[in-house]
Amino acid sequence: MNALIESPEVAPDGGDASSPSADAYWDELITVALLGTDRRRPPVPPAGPVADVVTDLDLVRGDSSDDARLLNHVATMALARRLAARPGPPATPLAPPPPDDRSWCPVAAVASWRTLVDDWPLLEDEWLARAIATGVRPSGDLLMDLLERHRVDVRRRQLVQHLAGSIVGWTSEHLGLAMAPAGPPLNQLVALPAIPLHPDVAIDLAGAAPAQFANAVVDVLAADAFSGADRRLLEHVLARCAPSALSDVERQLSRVADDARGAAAAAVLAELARTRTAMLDSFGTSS
Amino acid sequence: MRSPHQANGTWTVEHVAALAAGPAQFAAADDVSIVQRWSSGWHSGDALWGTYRGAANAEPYEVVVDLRPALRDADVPRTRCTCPSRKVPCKHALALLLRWVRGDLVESDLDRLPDGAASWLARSAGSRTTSPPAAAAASEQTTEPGDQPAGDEPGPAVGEPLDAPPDLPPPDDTSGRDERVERMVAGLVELERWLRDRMRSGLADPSLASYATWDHLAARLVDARAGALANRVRRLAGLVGASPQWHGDVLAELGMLHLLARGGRSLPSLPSHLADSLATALGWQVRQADVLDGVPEIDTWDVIGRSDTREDRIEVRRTWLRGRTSARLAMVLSFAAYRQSLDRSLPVGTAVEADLHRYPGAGARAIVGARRSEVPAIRPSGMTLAAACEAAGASLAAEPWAERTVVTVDAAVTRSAGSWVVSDETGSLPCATGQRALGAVLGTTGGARSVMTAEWTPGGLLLLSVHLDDRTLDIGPRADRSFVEAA
Repeated sequence: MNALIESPEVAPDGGDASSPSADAYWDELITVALLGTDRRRPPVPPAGPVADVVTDLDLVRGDSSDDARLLNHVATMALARRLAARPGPPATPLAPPPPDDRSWCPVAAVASWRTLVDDWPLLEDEWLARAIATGVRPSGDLLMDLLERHRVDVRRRQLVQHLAGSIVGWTSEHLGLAMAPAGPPLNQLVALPAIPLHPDVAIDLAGAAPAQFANAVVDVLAADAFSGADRRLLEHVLARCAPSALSDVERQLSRVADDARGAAAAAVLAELARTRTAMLDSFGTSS
Repeated sequence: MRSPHQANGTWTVEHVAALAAGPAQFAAADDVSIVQRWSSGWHSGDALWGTYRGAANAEPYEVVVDLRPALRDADVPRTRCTCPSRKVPCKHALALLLRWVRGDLVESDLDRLPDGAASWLARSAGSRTTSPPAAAAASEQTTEPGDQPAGDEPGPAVGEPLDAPPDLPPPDDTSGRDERVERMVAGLVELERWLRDRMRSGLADPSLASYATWDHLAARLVDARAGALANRVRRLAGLVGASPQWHGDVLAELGMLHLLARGGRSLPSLPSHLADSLATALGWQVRQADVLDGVPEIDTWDVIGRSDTREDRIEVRRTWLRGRTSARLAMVLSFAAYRQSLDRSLPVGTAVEADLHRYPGAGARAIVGARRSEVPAIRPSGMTLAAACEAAGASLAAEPWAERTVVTVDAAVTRSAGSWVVSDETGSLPCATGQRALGAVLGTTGGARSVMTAEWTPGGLLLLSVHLDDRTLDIGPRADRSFVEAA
């Protein structure tokens, strides 16, 4: 259907772009756009600024066809709706969760967690245990990351739930997230799981005094008692050794010459020692 | 992974992406850049060359890139390839550049250069020094600003890769500029014709449900050097059927395309700042060097939010800054192709005293220039939702085609009529935030009011950050770490 050349008519009612008549006009524009101007002509805009603009556009531009006029009306109305957007009625706030007056997990500890899950995940259990022992609570972004990371690991998800406190159930209920079933008592839950230790060497190392321990680790590397594949065992020893030994170990390992036997493994282990130290320090409770 | 800077000091993958005729060509170049496809690859200070093996029985292609225009004259590199493609640069030349920025080429002197390539390189140098207009024409051929792979408005941000090599003809090269303007205007006329056809046949036309319909239109806009508009069309395709009210969403965006097309044809008659914004929204690029030549805005810039979105095969990061003295907003864009890194130099919740250089026009797009010092961040104050609507409206009035702006509100997240909303005593606005960010807000605030920064979009508020007393939580959409590194 061809449009008649005419000035746009203007409906007498209506005013700004957020008024009910403007909404009805927009709905009518959508209907016409769905059907196409071959089947239905563009509606008449309600009187007001939008009508003034489209009248000017149609006349000044000389847009006489229905499709061109519809585009003018749509562009003007879409813009007016964006410019004149207003909030809807206020909504009722959510019922608050049970109060939790614990302080937030320190920023440094959050950063530490993000580092170790990428580089040294074997330290994560200790991080969770330390966070619970310190009595801090995770901010929401950390909580969501923890829940996402341990979505299928029931024990760690239980640890996260302990750490988060009442907010986790409240948040999960609102978002439809699954909760882990109630687990064993907290003291059992936070006990660090056993990790494989070398039967002959590592157990002795784990029981050594800090200075002896550090020297022994370097000696083990120098003697090449561990193959590359066994380096993991030394990492486990460092992940479980007394925190007081870490600085000695890191210092000793850093002294291993670049061209010495085991230098590469020493660098990796020194990095682990540094990361664990930083992790413990991040809670302000290094011991 | 090796940094591109290790290889060449300046060029990055983003520069190479900017030379591509579009994301598809860049992706094709990325595919053929693997070392197994090349029997050789060399670089000297001024040139790259290599032999691409291609298919088993196919003739290998000799590829040469003359870097001198890029390294010395801030122009785009010249390329030569024996492949049959008529595109300049072809995907093999782009692939060679990619290998270079990744540090995969072997350093050599020009003695190893094949004879044909050596003579071409000599001719290239001659034409560059004796014929500036020809060089400008080469630039015109090799880089199409509208075809940049990324772009996410507000306004001038569209289609402009950060640190993209300059790609406009020199100011005195009016012939090249005129030719580009003609192509763009022709593309806008065609866009308008397409829009009118859609209005005649109706949005219920089944062809609109096919991505090919939109992609075809986008491709024609790319040909017209209106790549930013093409990106917008591709985003629009994603709205079809995406929600129960998609007809209204698509119609409103078609209205914005009409506005842009009409405005683009009237650029000379528009006020300069509006014309600048509009030109960039269409895909007309501004040299980064020109932006940096402008008078800087010196302030302490609080980094208030970050948002990552995927544009075809490019990840786009918007980082929002607010001037502590001026209270003006600014947006810094960065881009990353597959396995590349986004800019992490402006972490949310930090502040930096720096020079800020704004792109022409009313948009928020800017480049951070000289950084003086990092300063302690302060917690911003939030406005009411009514005030936020006013602020967003004012921002959109200056740049009507913008798809988003940013506001900082003091409000609570709650539910209304089964949907998530942000609410305060002045009203409520839809919350367009995903579940992870919602959980981050709820898990932090317990549903209480808090100061939050959000992107204002036609679909509602997209929450980017929660400002606490001692920290700011960065909860904006984050790039997939399997796509870009260290997101």
